[in-house]
Amino acid sequence: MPSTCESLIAQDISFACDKLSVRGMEADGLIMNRDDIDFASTVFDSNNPNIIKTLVMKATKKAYEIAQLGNTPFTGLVSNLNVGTYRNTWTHDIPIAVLGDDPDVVENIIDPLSNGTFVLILRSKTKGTAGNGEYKVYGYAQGCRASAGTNDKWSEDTEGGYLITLQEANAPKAGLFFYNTDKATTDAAYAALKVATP
Amino acid sequence: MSLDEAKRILEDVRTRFNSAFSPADKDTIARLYEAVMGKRFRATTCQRCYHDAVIEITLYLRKNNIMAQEKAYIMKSGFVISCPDFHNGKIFTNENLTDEIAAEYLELYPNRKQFFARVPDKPVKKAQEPLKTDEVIKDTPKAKKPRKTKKTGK
Repeated sequence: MPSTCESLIAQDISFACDKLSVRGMEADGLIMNRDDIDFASTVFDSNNPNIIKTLVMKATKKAYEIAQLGNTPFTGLVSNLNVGTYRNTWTHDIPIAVLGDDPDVVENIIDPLSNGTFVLILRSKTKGTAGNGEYKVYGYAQGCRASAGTNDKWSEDTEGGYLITLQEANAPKAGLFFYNTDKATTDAAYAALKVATP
Repeated sequence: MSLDEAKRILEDVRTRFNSAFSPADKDTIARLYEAVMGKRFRATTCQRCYHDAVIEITLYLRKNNIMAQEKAYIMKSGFVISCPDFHNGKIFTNENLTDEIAAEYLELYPNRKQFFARVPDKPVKKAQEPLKTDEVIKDTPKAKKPRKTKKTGK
């Protein structure tokens, strides 16, 4: 292991006409309780440490789906640089609208979101090369925790539901991606996260 | 879960079929589906997916009258097999993974055992493949043509 971490740019800052960045996120994603992840089995891409190739859950655990509505799903999703004394980090804010307010929603979603620690995989509209930029991972390093929450009963946006903002503070990397081999394999792995093992 | 137990639970759930299922019923249906069909129930946003599951279970039991066979190998949630050197890169998930394929994979890549939630103590042996039709014909000493029977007119 090197004693110093180099921060050297290794690519031109330009743009490729065939893969321009596209703003926004797809309307669905996954949320996992951080304790349910089998971190020891995580495999990172040997060529790119910002790509997680394999992410698996502990036995009997699974990821839960997040579905958002509207033209700008996950609106307000933003990452900001924090200037530190010795090292700079990133803070990711992920707003999630929960359009519901009943005992099941509060018990199973809102209360756990309020105090738990989570990892999310969200689908970017920027797909990258062969789909390697689609699945973005938040909370793998520090975990995402609630930083704000509102239940405005007269809100036209949430229709009386909840708006919870999850935050991963001081993440060492600006972005982590989930990608394995090709788009088909990655899609299959993403879908497999939703199914708990017996 | 035994077959009789599954049928009893199914009958109980079906008594409430004409109304919306409670969260407890939904959990029961999901467990029943997994036990009977051998695959995970995936709740969608469809309003009647639990009712559809009850119908699917009913038809399956009526037709087969057996429970799904339990798998000896189960991969952890999120892991898929996708290896260019293994079955030409075919993607295997828990849905299409057989015990024989899993055993073959772990024989080739024993260090991938960590990605499995369930592995038997003794590897499942590959089932003997039936001989191909042309091999049967080639190996048979003299393949006799079937005799034509004459109609006796009786």
